Amino acid sequence: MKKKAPFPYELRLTAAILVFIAICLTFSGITFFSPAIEMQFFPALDRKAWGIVFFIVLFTFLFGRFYCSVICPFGILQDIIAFLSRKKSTVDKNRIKTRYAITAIAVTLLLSGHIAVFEILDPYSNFGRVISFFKNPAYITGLVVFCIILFLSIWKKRIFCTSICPVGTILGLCSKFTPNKMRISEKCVRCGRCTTVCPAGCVDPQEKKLDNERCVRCLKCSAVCPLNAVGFMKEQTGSTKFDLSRRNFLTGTFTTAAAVGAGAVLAEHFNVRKQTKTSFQRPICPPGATTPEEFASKCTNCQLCVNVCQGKVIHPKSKDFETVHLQYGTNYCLYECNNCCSVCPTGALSALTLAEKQKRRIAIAQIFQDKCVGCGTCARKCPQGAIKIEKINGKSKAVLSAQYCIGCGACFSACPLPEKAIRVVAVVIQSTAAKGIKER
Amino acid sequence: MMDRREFLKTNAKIAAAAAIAGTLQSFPATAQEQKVSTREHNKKPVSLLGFGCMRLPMKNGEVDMELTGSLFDYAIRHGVNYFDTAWPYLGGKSETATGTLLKKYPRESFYLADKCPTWLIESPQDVDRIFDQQLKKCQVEYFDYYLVHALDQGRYENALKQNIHANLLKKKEEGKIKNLGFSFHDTPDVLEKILNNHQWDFVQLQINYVDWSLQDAERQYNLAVQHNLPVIVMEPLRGGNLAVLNENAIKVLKTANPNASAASWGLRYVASLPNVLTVLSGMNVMDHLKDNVSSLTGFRPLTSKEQETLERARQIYMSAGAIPCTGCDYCKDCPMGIRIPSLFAAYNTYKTTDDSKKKDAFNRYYNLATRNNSTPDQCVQCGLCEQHCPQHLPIREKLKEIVALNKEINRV
Repeated sequence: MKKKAPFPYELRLTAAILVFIAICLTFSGITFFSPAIEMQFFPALDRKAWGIVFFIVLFTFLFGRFYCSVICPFGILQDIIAFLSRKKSTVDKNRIKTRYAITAIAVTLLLSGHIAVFEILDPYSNFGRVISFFKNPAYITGLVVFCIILFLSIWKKRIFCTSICPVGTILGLCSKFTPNKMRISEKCVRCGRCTTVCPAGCVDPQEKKLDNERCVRCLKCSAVCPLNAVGFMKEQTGSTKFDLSRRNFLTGTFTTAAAVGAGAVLAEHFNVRKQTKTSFQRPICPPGATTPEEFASKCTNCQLCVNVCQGKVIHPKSKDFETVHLQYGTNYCLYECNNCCSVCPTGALSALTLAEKQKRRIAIAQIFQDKCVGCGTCARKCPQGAIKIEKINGKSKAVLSAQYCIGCGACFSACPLPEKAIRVVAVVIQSTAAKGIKER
Repeated sequence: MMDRREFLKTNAKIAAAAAIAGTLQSFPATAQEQKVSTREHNKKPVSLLGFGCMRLPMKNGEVDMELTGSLFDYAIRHGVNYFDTAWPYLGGKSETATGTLLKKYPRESFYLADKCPTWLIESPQDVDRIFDQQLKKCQVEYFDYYLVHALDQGRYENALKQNIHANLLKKKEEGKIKNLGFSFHDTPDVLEKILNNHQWDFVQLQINYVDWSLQDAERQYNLAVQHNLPVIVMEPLRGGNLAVLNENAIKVLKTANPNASAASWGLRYVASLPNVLTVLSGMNVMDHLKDNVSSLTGFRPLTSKEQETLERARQIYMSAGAIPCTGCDYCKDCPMGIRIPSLFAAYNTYKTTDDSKKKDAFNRYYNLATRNNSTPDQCVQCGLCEQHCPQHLPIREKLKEIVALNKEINRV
């Protein structure tokens, strides 16, 4: 009764599991596996890695949305949830208007310099938030995302991928016009098994239709088909033609056009909001960002840096700060660690070498002489040797040589006074500090 | 070096040549461009007016190549042959623009000066790396004048540690530097030490009638004369401040000579010093260039009566209590993004404007300066600005004053 799973399906499944594990390992701090994250479509687009973007687009055009079932961790997560929920699929509606509208708005905003919609909907970043939550339950955004995706994937498996996800929609358009399609052949006896396993709800044996735009290439249909009647094949007489009815085409076009307009209006709104915002607290951005504004325009809040930070000092965006930021307290930015900027997949943090990072000024310390008791703890802790104890009016005080200060916060965490005699303030633009004084 | 007699002789020769040329040719006077006076260095004429490229005109964050090009062309047509740029000017864009615009002229027809940014030198290799990049950016094979930039006590110590002078001397032997000197912003004692310790071909000093006493430029100049070094003058007008002065000081100058601009007084003041080789002025408006060119064409030193007039104007100007900031913007990397020169301009405007318009003038400048949300009260007292300030201004104290002033006048 049960057919042995064919090789391509098993290969696809194994690859997906391996990628999923690699991504999880990266998030737990083993950065060796970060290439799995560099492959992610939207971050690659964000950091202008055109090679990767082009490769994914070309591959999708040639073979379909394998990206969604093998590379995308959020997609694999949905597959896992669906697998555990064991619900059968049915043929699903093709929600052209919804997904084109979302994607058109997202792209329009992106082109006018606002990452907002992509930031909320990018599947990789959402996965990052979920995994962040599981590592640190304080990061509640991940819980919200997880609940939503749990509900969606139990309800209709990959509905996020087929109807909401802008990356999926873009890749769907790439695979829509390919000559190399998955099809249902004449051998089909309409047993319907394929429909029950299809997570995208895009196989309809009754009509002998397989929508290549929504298909995420999980290959489950061909794995369960007893007659091998579904799979990659040449167009056959009698099989369904590529179905782009005039109505669908017009709806798609009109929706897109309308959404582009809506996106433009939204972009204008964001611009105005940005300009009128006068008072804000400047966040300390991770090393490799330049200005908070530029950082915010590229960061998708995937929280990978939050997870790999050895000093546990990076926090996701919150009510107080509109970007990922550093918070000093007992924790501070470790001198010997450049994990955040070496893993950032979006280009929001440029990949600094350790030596570069050690000179990157992300903030600057201010010592309050009236509070300082001159104990020298901060001076001993400063990795750059920027603080010296000097006699001022006969009393020992900590004195900062600002040209060496990189704003790592070591002094702040070291200061033993309950009312700290030091504060560390974010800079408006990150710059290069002088090479630290070695002799300490 | 050039003494007064030689200088007069040169001028006389030029005047004679011009006269002969004038009689020989019957073109109308306008067709023959009047050229800026020159002084000799290594038996070659250097124009008394040098083009400073720290303040080139900008457009949308880039150097306005069209306007700069026409400024350069006009200057060269009128005999200006000394161009001065440096690594940090205009965020590194000055060198590129200067090199690009000078490219169409034969290399031997102009002198190009560039500078080694001492504060960025952390190892001897940095000197070579930056020097090679500068040659590439300026699109030249050699620099006629190369300076160790903005030396003061601290930077000189670093220069010694990194052996910058010896390194540059090697480049001079290779012919990549024709004349080696340094620009200087500190006390005469430090200057004397630097002059005694190494062999130099020239020195660049900040001289103008305000700093003659305020920053001991007199002693600095005399030291250079003792060492027989030609002096290149920077900030002859203190970043344009001496071209504006204030109302009462201007009145004094205008009464003495209604046709002369305040800027011309300033330029002629420094050019009257015989050891001065060239006077650098950062000109970004055609009118300024034309005015400066005419001030130093057919140059005649200030008479003792003119000196007296200028001294009176100076005293009036100084009594207003303005901050002596030249707006060079070396402090631009404030970690808090505070625009220090713009705030000082607001302060100075307040000090030099009539009582009735004081408040509005201050607010207009202040709002412009704080448009980026960086107000002076955000200062964290790190003092990076003061490390970079060539005028050694107590910037942190002054910012506190501005915070207080802003509170005071906007509460009333």
